[in-house]
Parts: sequence; C-alpha cells; structure tokens
Amino acid sequence: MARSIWNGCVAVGELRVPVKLYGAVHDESVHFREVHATDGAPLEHRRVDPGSGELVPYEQIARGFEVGDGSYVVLDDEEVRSADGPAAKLVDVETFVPADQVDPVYYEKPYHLGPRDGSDDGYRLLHDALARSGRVGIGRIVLRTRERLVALRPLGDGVIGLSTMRFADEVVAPGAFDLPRPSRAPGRREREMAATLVERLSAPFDPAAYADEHRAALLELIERKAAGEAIEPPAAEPAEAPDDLAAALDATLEQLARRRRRRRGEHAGGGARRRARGGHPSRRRSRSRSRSRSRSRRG
Amino acid sequence: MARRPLWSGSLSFGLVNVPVELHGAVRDRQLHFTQLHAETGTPIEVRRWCTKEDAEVDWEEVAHGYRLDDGREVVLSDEELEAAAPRRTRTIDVEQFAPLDQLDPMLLDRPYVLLPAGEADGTLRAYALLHDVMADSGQAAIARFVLRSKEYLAAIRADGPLLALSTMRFHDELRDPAQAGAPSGRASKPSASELRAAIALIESMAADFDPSRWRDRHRARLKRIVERKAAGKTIRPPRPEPEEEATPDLMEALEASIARLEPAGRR
Repeated sequence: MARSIWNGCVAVGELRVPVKLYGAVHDESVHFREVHATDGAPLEHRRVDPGSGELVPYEQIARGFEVGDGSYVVLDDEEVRSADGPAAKLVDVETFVPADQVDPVYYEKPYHLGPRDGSDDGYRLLHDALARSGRVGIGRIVLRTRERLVALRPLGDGVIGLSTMRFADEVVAPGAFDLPRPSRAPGRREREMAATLVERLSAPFDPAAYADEHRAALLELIERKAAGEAIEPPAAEPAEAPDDLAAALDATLEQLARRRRRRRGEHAGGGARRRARGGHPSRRRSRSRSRSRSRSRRG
Repeated sequence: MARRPLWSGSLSFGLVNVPVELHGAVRDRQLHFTQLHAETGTPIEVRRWCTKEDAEVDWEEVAHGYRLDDGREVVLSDEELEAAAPRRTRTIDVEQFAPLDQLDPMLLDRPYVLLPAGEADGTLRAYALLHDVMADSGQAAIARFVLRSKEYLAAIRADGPLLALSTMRFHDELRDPAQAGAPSGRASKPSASELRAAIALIESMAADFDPSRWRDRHRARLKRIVERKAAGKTIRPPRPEPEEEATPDLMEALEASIARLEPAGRR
C-alpha cells in the first residue's frame, strides 16, 4: 500500500472532501554516493568558515539573505516560519478554468489524490463533476510549509490528479525570445514534403516503448565493473553539418519508402513502431540491441 | 534579446538537420538563503571529508560509489562513468511524431524553448518549416537528446511562433494511479441531482485561466520578512488555525456554496 505524503481536505465553497496526497512520479535515476577515490571510504560534507578554516557546527549556522554585495539579513527559524502558508490542511480551490486553457508549461510536479476516512462519495462526486465540466480546479496547498499553486484535474480510472503549478513570472514568455524570420517562407513543395514526412513518422504515442537507455547503460557499467572488467572511456564523436533542405526531405522520404517496400517484402505487419523510429539504420540497430539488453536484465 | 543557450546542436529527423539552440523556458524565482557562520557572519563553505582518514578531500579525488543489492559497493571514477555517457551529444534525434493530445501532461517534466542557431537563411527556413508543419498537423515530435551527459526523452511542439521542448519522464517513473484507492463501485456513484449541483457549483466559480492572476504568496511573504528584518522591525509568527472536517451532508454543502457564491457573481 502506498504511503500518503499529506492528509487534508479539498475545499470547494462549503464542501470539504477529506483526501490523501500521493506522489505520482518517482525518480528512477541511478544515484551514486561520493567516495574517496584512494580508499573507497564515503565522503562527508562539512561546513567550514573560509576565513578561519574552522569547522562550523550545525548549531552555529544562521540563514542569511543577501541584500547587496556581501551584506546579509539574518533570519532565525522562527522568523522564516512566519512566511509559512496557512496552517489549515486544505487544498483550497478558488476557481475552475477550462482544462484546455492551461498550457502544460504551468504544470510542475504531479500527485494523485485519494479519498480518506470514508470520503468516497464526496471524492467521486468531485471527480465526476470535474470530468463532466471539462474544467480544472485552481487552488492553493501548503506542502512542507511552502504555499503552492495547484491544479486539480480528473485522470483516467476515477482518480483526481493534483499538480503543483509554476507562477506566471517563472515562465519565460515566448515573446521574450528573438526569432529571426527567413527571407522567404518555406515553399509549397517543401511544406508538402515535410508534411508527408511528419505523417510517415507519426504513430500513436506509447510511453512504454521508450526506456531510459542512459540508466540502463549506467547499470550495465556498474555490473561490468563489479565483475572486474576494465572500463574504457569512449572515443569522441564527429560534428555534423546541416544539409540542403529540399534534398534532405526528398532523401528521407525516399529512404522511408525504400525501407517500407523492403519490409513489406520481408515480413507482413508489425512494423509501425519500427517504421516510426526512422532515423539512421545503424543507430536503430544499436538502439534496439540496448533495449533488449535492458529488458533482459530486468526480467 | 540575445541569451546564451544551454545547449546547441541540431534537431534531426530523417536526414533533415535543423541547427538549434536550447534555452530554458522557466526561471527560478525562489528566494535562496545562504548559510552563514552565526558568530562571524561569514558565508560558510561546504567541503568534503574522508570519513576514514578524517581529512579534507580534493575534488579530483572524489569517486562515485554504488551499492549493489548484495551489499558490495562498486566504485567508479569520472572517466569510467563517461563510458556510459551517450555518444551523440550534438543532436536532438526525432524518433517519431505523435498527436499532441496523446501526450499525458504527467509525462512532461521541464520546459525549454528551441531557437534556430545562427541566422543562415537555410536554418531559419528549416526551423519555420518544421514549426509550421507541426502546428498545422497538431503533431508533437518525440526525441532523444543529451544534456550535461545525461540522455533525455523530450517532446517538441509548436508554441506560438516557437518550438517548445519539454523533457519527459520515463514511463516507469510514473506511479500507478490505483495507489490512490479511488472509489469505483456503484455505492459511491453520485445521484443525478448531486452531480447537477456539483457542476453548478463549479460553473459558479468558473473563470478563464489567467496565469498572471496568481502570485507566489510564499515568495512575497518571505520577501516582506526580509525587508522588515532589514529595517529592524519585529517579525510576528503566524496564528494557528483549526482543523477542517468533512462535510456531513454533500447536498447541503453544495447548495449552501452556490447560494453564497451566486450574489457575488463571477470572480
């Protein structure tokens, strides 16, 4: 059973629905700890006063906020705590906005909400009403003393998702970037070819088809080292130059068509995903190899 | 405004290469505190110490330990770690295109923007071409690329005049929504009148999404505290608040909410 990280209520108007909050993502990256290269002993981080070179015990650490060059306003724990959000354990929903108006750039970290203390009826009602209305609830929550903006939206399977949100001033507006325009717009033939290419490379999106190959490579490296193998550093890669646009589009379409003809000749069906991969045949081969490797290790 | 890119290389699909730069689309606005030595007010430094020798360790002598399931620890140097580093570090390789609406926002991690690299007309035209085709077809590109020696999966879409890129979480990094224990049986199914009332409540609190309406109140409070403290004023701790309890009667709460909100009109 999953452990909740926060218990509270969703508040909409006078309605209070008790909920539990669960993390919806977990970090699967390979984590190392720092060790001393010469003796393999774990390293510790210690705080040093660079002036005297003395170690500073934790009790003698103060929190400073820099206001101008080298001068700090020092705050104690009590003072920092006074910036805490409201203490009430609430997801306080303030408004409901059309789901399609929320650019995904605003979504930060996803969570799942679950019912608590027999709140099934209220939970289900909130979920169903959100799903029916096509709206997302925007509100605030205090997580570990920091008040955050959140969105509540219905996910599949009757679950209400909660996502922390970025604030407008944390998102760089597209208009802030200079985008030079070409002297002439892409021609009709280029557009048609590019549209055809995108269509040929398009396939339904299946997130499970993409494995973290870097993670797999790291785990494999660890295994090899554990088995006493010598690890060679990789060779440098050559740089790449841009191509003539129409010619490149043409050549890619031609390559895709050739591959499709060949595949039709070899085995019928089942090639949608592989066809969608496209790209350089040699790389495709090495990629599918590493994918099957990572599968075999997990299995 | 000219900014320094985080990365530059080329966006490659099939045999087409578009030279691009990667820029961050979000910035950190949080207030960051510095750890000070309380006695002297000097910012402290964090240094590494070997727990065996009880001596300071230079950066060059730091290696990376990984504990295996059987308890053994494998130690890797920076050079050895590089053997696992992805080779193709200068391209964003498009592996497929997919309908934009199939991308679960849950998979999107950190947003960036792609800009054409340089002002060569061919580059600008290729960028505009890819942008326009993706905008017209409602397709996003799924790609892999390497940033700071880690390989990322990314989704690229047309956003206004730009190509937006978001790194993606891997499928196995999402938890099963079933963990939330959402009710599904007939017992919890709301009645038609409850559902109507709940939707009416939602509609009475409806508005357009205006991101600029929402301020980071935590950041604002912290700033105010810093300012007050700098001015020599006292800082008051927050008041404790009562615990909230579940609504005993759903229908009653819905009706009371709607009644309370109605006269105020849309906010």
